[in-house]
Parts: sequence; structure tokens; C-alpha cells
Amino acid sequence: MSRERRWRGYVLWVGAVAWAVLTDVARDSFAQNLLGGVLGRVVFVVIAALALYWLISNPPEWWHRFQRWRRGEPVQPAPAPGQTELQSLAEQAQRWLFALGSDRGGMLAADWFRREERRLRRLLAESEVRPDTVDDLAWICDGLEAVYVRQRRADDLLELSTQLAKIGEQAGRRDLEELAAVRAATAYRLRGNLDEATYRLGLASSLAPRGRAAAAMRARRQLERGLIHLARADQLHPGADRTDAVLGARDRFDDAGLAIPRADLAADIAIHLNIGVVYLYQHDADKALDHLRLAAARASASRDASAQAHALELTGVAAWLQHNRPQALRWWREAERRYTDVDEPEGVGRCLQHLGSAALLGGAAEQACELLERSAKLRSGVTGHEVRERYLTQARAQLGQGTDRPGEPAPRPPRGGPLQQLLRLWRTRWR
Amino acid sequence: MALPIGEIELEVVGREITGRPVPGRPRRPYSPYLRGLPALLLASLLLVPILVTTATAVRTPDGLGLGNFTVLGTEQARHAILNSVAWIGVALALVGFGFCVALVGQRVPALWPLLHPVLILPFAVSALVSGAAFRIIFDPAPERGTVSALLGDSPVWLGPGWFWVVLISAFIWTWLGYVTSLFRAGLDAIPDDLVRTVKAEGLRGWRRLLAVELPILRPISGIVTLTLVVAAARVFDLVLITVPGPMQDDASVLALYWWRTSNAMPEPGPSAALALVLFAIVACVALCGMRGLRRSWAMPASTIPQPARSTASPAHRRLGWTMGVLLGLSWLFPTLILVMTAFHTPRAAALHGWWAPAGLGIESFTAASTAGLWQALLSTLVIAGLATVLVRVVAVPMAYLLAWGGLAEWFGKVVVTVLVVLAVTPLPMYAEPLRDLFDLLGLTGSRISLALVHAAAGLPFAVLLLRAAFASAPPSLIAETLRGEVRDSAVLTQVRQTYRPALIAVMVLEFVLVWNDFIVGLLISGPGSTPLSLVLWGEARQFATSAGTVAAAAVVMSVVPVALLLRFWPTVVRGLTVGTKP
Repeated sequence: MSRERRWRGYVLWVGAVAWAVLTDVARDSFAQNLLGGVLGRVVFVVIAALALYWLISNPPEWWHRFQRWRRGEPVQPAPAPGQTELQSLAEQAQRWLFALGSDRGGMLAADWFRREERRLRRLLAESEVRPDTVDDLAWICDGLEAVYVRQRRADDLLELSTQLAKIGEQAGRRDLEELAAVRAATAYRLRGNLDEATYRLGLASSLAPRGRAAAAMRARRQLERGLIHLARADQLHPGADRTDAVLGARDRFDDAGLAIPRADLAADIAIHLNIGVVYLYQHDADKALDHLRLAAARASASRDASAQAHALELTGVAAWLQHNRPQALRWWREAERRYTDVDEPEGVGRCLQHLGSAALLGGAAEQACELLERSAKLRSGVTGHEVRERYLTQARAQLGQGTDRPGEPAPRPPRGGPLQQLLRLWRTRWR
Repeated sequence: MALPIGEIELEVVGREITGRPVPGRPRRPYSPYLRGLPALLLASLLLVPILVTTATAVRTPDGLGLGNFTVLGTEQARHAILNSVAWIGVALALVGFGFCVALVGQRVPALWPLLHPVLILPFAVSALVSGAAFRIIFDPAPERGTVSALLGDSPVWLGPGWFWVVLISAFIWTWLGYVTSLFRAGLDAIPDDLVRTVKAEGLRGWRRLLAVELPILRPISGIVTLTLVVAAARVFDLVLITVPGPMQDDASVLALYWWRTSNAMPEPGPSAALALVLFAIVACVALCGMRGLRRSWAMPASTIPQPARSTASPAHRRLGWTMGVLLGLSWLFPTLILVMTAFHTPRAAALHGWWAPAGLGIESFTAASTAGLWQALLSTLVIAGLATVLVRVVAVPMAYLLAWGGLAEWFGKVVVTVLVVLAVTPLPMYAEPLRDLFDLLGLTGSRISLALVHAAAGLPFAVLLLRAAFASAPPSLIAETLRGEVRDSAVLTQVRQTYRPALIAVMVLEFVLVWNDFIVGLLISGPGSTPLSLVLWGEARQFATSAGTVAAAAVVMSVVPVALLLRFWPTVVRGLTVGTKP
């Protein structure tokens, strides 16, 4: 045994003896000044045990340094080549992530991510996963994920989640693996593969570690489950199953609401918005507005322009549901303006789609065609094509032939299996 | 997602949460924690004495040690422990038997409305009353005892060995209705489509029972088993009134042996050690049964009530009818005997059986009245009323806190475990220290002290039951409260209204248990409070000569709980199984 290691051992022993002496002194002092006798001793032992437990479960930084020093590791590892670039970009990604979607630099943040996306992806692919780089890599993943979700880029999101899962696995970080599984679920949902999305969420639940972010992750899982329910409702025909799916979504959003941490304002807003969507599905505009107003107010307070725009967009849908069409158009125009302010083409495209559909219904086929074409250019995501394309075809048909009656959308492509098609045929034949 | 609104279809999308998960705990207002304070204070009436008894059991003159446990080495103690364990076995067997009766009741639904109240009736009466009824039935003198008159004076039913038949019969008579009712409610709650699916899968008989019915009924089995094990471990008064004095050593159970030891020995250590052993046995069984008492033991509300269905063949139905009618008649028999004996004069009841036409009259009631029956009735009413109100007031906020108060998961589990253990804690664990405390405070014999002990003893079960009901409240309601959109008190009010059956179940059971109590009154109370059961026991000491008075007191004592339970029993069953209004 080297002299140095022996000395380190002595330090430990001296520390233990000092702890014991201090404990004894403290116990006597406690017994003399506060509470004597058996009860005093019991109380003291309980307090000492709790203090020790707290120290062990919350090891301060100096203890980690001491551990590294005792193992003979350098206390501050030297940065590896390329790490400076990683650190710098990760810090920037973190900063721009907070700005993304907000009215304070939202557009700049979107622009930064657009410019740096390739570099970030290259760094993710090339950087070595080490304990001192894993958090930087995770921050980069977080930033890119926010961008991909806003732009509905499901394939990129899936690829990113695979990378994050790999990083988590290599670093032994189950929290990152869980996060990656939830993000993969989002990606699969956006691609329409709901079974795989559900499977990934189950995987995330099985991975879930205990930690300070456990509540936030639980909320995220529940929210994603709710969104999967809504997506499933969208695939079903109106009826009991669809109602059940929407109710299931509501339950999941409520569970998420019970789990979100106090400080997670963005999650709170997202839950209100989603509950608003549930009520819209149930055609209950008043209750939807209760939640949407709350979400808009909170988004405004936290200067989250993207969420505010989303709330206004949905408020427009609620107004349409209340047959207040001029007001709905006003909300959609306002939402479009705000989405533009934070450079969210997907949101802008959606609002244009609403406006275009409304214009088509009002008989303004030319205006509708223009709005819907602009929407088509802006929306590169995987969802929303079906409705838009249908209205666009109809608008073009009206412009070209002028035969279709306005306000009567083209029939939706038939859904379901052969049995449902047979039933549909039966209905059209005999009714 | 496309949302069709009239003639238009709008694309509506939800919102994801992105970025780094935010560390922190879910938001919870701190004020709900105050809701647990009254329950903590009331439960400390049990917790502190339990700790004191534990400390007394392990403290010897030489310091800490197991010296006091040498009392377990005596032949009598071993006998008492074995008997207590045997009682737990009887309770478990009764659970199985009750399930079979419930199955018969389900197969012959037409019989149930008749059989149900008859089975429930004995559950409302105290162990003392059922003991008195069975002692009258099995009286060894052929001129008085029904069984001896029918079968001759051999065997001596209340003699060595045979008294077990009497004791177990009385126990089964009291508890079978409770077990059957709950299982029957559970069986009815099994959804029809599930039954059809199971049939289509070809599952029948035992396989169906093991694969479908038993797993679905696990929550109810948990609550039934727990209740019966506690009742079996607390068997005390039944032995005291049913078994004649000389035989009581043979029938001794741990609680009875503890009582005798604590009276006979000057040192508190050995009796505390005995109490600790009894506590350990019961707590082990209860903790094993906790698997069935998970967060929501209530059956899913949407599945109740189902229309009664009969799947039995005509032959089975006839068999069920026969069994049901026989069971119903035999269950009514002890009540009939008790009432008939009460309407004989004390002299006639001491000399002849209940069937004798001579000596009819209400003199036995007069004699019971002279022994202080009416004053005891009033006293019991005050005590039971006070305890019930106290449990109601304290248990609701505590149950709400446990169900939706946002306690950390591990802490919630610890609290529930403690509550389960407290719910089954036998009285010897806290009787001695409490008596000392009340002596110190000058509250011995006061009705308030007795009501407090009853409320503390009933609180854990009430909280567990209400928590299970509250836990099935819609998450939307609670989420809105936590987000601050709805006031907390408004939610509590709505929960209270929605879960009224659970509240009624708690209150009715608490009232009936306190009304019928004997052991708490005997061990805690002095001469001041004189509950009814003490008066009844006082009369029963000379059973052979005062059978008429005892029967009259038993009849008067049983009127209130029987009326209460028969009136509210459907609600109580609903409260125990579902919790909510239909």
C-alpha cells in the first residue's frame, strides 16, 4: 500500500473518531440543556440519524470532490478536444431553448436553431459520451426536440430520440432514456403509429427512475397518453368508442395536471390547452373557453407567445362552435400574427387553413385557394394534409368549374375495414 | 386532428410539453395537511399507549430484556395462544362458508329478499346477546335447554370440549350475514358482458371461480377477512357469557388470559407482554391482508347495480330454495328463543324452557329495569352518539387528505399501514395506559373518556373505508381544485355528498359497534358510565336464575341496533363495496 493511500485511510479514521467525539459532546450538551433522561437520548439519536441520512442522501459537492480525490481521479477533468465547442453550443442551445416561442427573442431563437441545426446534429453524432459531456449533449437534444415538435417533424424527432436514448444508455442515465422514450412516443404519434407510441410510453414508465424530475416526467407521460387518446378518437367514427377515447384523454390530462411540478408553467398551459381541445371535441365551447382563457392568461404572464397564439387559435375554433364566425376569423388572424412573430410556420399554416376553409364556406373560392396554398407551402409537418388537401381541391374545382355547392366539403375517404364499408354501403342503399 | 363543426371541418391540435423536465414536486397547498391534525390527535390516544405497552413489555427490573415474555411459557398461556389462533382459523373458514352462501344466494335470487334480513339481524346484536341466546338454547338442563330437550342430556353441550360447538355457532350466527351480504354485492357487481365472455371461453366451475370471481372479489375479500380476523382476535365477551365459569380456562383466549393476568399480577410487565403477542398475531394477519386493501378497494361504481341473474338449473334452484329456507329458519331461531324467554317471568324462565306456556308476562323487563336498564340505555346512547359524531368529523378530512391530499407516495403507504395495524390493535395494547391516564386526569367513569376511546378505536377503519371511497372521485374534480379553479371546501362538500353511502356505512357501523361494546366499557369505564352491556353481564353472572332478566335486557339492548342496521343495511353494503350513490 502506498504511503499516500495509507494517509488517505488515516484521514477517514480520524474523521470517524472526530464524528463520534462530536456526537458524544453534542449528545451531552443536548441532554444537559434541552431534554434529559431516556427520552432525551431517544430524541437525540433520532435527530442524529435524520441528519446523517440527510447528509448521505444529499451529498454536497465537496464530498464528490473528496471521493474523486480518494480514488486518485483528477478533481477537475481536463477538457477533451472538441469539448469546448460542445460546451459553447450546448450553452447557446440552452439559452435559445428558453427564448424559443417567447416574445423575447422567439424569432431569433428559431433562426439560430435553423442556422445551427446541422452543426448541432453533427456534434450529437460525433461527440464522445462521457460524464462531463452528457449534460451538454442532452441540452442540445432538448433544444432540437422543441424545434422538431413545433414543426411537426416526426422523422427528425424519432431520430433525435434514438440518439438521446443511446446517450442515456452509454452514460447510464435512465432519466435520459425515459425522456427519449417519451419523445419517441410523440414522434410515433405524429406519424400515426399509435400502437408503437403507446408501447414507447410503457417503456418510459418501466424506465422511470426516482429523481427530482420524476413528477414532471410522470406529467409528460400522462399528457402524451392523453394526446394518443385524442389521436385515436380522430381515427374513429363518431360514436361510443370515440366518446370513450375523448373521455380517456380528459382523464389522462387531469392526471398530468395532478403531477406537474409547481414551477412548470409551460406544462400547466399545455394541460389547459389540451383540456380545451377535449371540450371542443365534446362540442362544449363554454367549458373549452374557460380553459383556453386561463391558458392564454398564463401564457401572456409568462410571455410564451407561442402558447398564447395556440390558445387564441383554439379560441377561434370555440367561437366558430358558438356560431360567432366573424369573431372566429378575428381570433385566427390574431393567432396567425403571433405565430408569425415567433416564427412558427406550422401554426401560421394552420391558421391560414382555418381562414381558407372559412372563406370557402363563405363562397370566396379565390381567397380560399390562395390561403390554403400558402398554408400548404408553410406546413411541412406530417399531419393535417388530409383536410387541407380536400378543401384545396374543392376550392380549385370551384374556381375551375364553378359547379360544386359552397359549404359542402368533399366526402371524406372511407375509413375502417371491409365490414364497416359494407355497413356504409347498406346504409346508403336502404336509407 | 380533424374536428367536424357543422358543415366545416377544422384541424385542431393539442400541445406537447417540450424541453428539459422541470425538477420539483407537484403543487399542493399546505392547508390540507392541517386536516390530518385532529385524526393524529385522536389516534395518539392509541399510538402513545401502544408505545407505552411495548416499552413495558420489554422492560425488566434489570433493564431491557425479554424476561416478561416468560409468562408465555405457562401451560395456560400456550393454551390461550392456541385458542386465539384457532379463532382466527374459524374466522377464515367462515369467510369461505359465507362466500358459498353468497353463491347460493346468487343462483337463487328470488330467495335473497327473504334470507337477507334474516341473516343480517344477528350482525346487529352484540356478542353478549348472541352468547346469551346460545346459552339458553344449549342449556344442559332438558327442562330449559332446547337442544337438550330435543336430543337428551348427553352430550353436555356446555361441558368440556362441547362448548366449542356453542361458541363457534354463536360466532357464525353473528357474522355470516355480514360476510354473505358483502360477497353477494360483489358477485352482483361482476359485469354481465364479462360473465358472457367467460362462458364463451369455456371457463366453468372452479376454473371460473379462480380465474374471474375470486380476483374480482379480492377487494371485498380483503375487507371481509380483515373485519372477521379482528372480531375473532377480540373474542372475549362471547366466551365470558357463554362458557360457564369452571370451563372458562379451557376456552380461554389471549384477551381473556390477559385480563385475568393483569388483574392477578401486580407487575404490569407480563400482561403487557401478553398484549404484545396478541397484537403481533393480529397485526401479521392484517398486514398480509393489506394486499386486498390497496388504494381503492371499492368495486367500480358503474357496474353496480346489475339486474339479478340466475344461471342455475331448476334442480339447483330447488336445492338452493331448500337450503335457503332451512338456513333462514335456523337463523331466526335464536332470536325467537330470546324474545320468548324475555316474555316469561324470571321464575318461569329459570324453571322452564321458552316453549312452556306457563309464566308468560313482562316481569323480566321490570326486573331488568330495576337493575338499571333504562339509565344504562341512555348512557349508551350518549356514548355511542358522541363517538359516532367524533369519528364522522375527524375521519372525513383525514380520508380526503390520504386520498387526494398529495402526500408523498411512500408516506401515504406508511400512514395506511399504520392505520391498518391500528384498526386491528386489540384493546389490551392500550387499555392499561389509558386507564392510568384517565385516572390521572380524573376522567375515570366519565362518558366522554369512553366515547373518546371508542372514537379513537373506530377511527382507523373509518378512515380506511372513506379513503377508498374518496380515491375513486373523478380526477378532474381534484385537478380543478389543485389548479385553484374550485375551492377545496367545495370539493370536500361534493365528495361528502357523492360518497354519502360510505359515510352512512361508517356512522352506522361505528354506532352499532359502540352500542354493542362490552370490553372497552369493562376495561376503561368505572361505575359512572355503566353501558348497557355491563348491566347485561352483571345479570348474566347468575345465568341459571336470571335467564329471563338477561333475555329481556338483551331484547331491549338489541332493538336500536337491529332497527338501525335493517333500515340502513343496503346503504351500508353499498358504502362498503362501492362508496357512492347509485
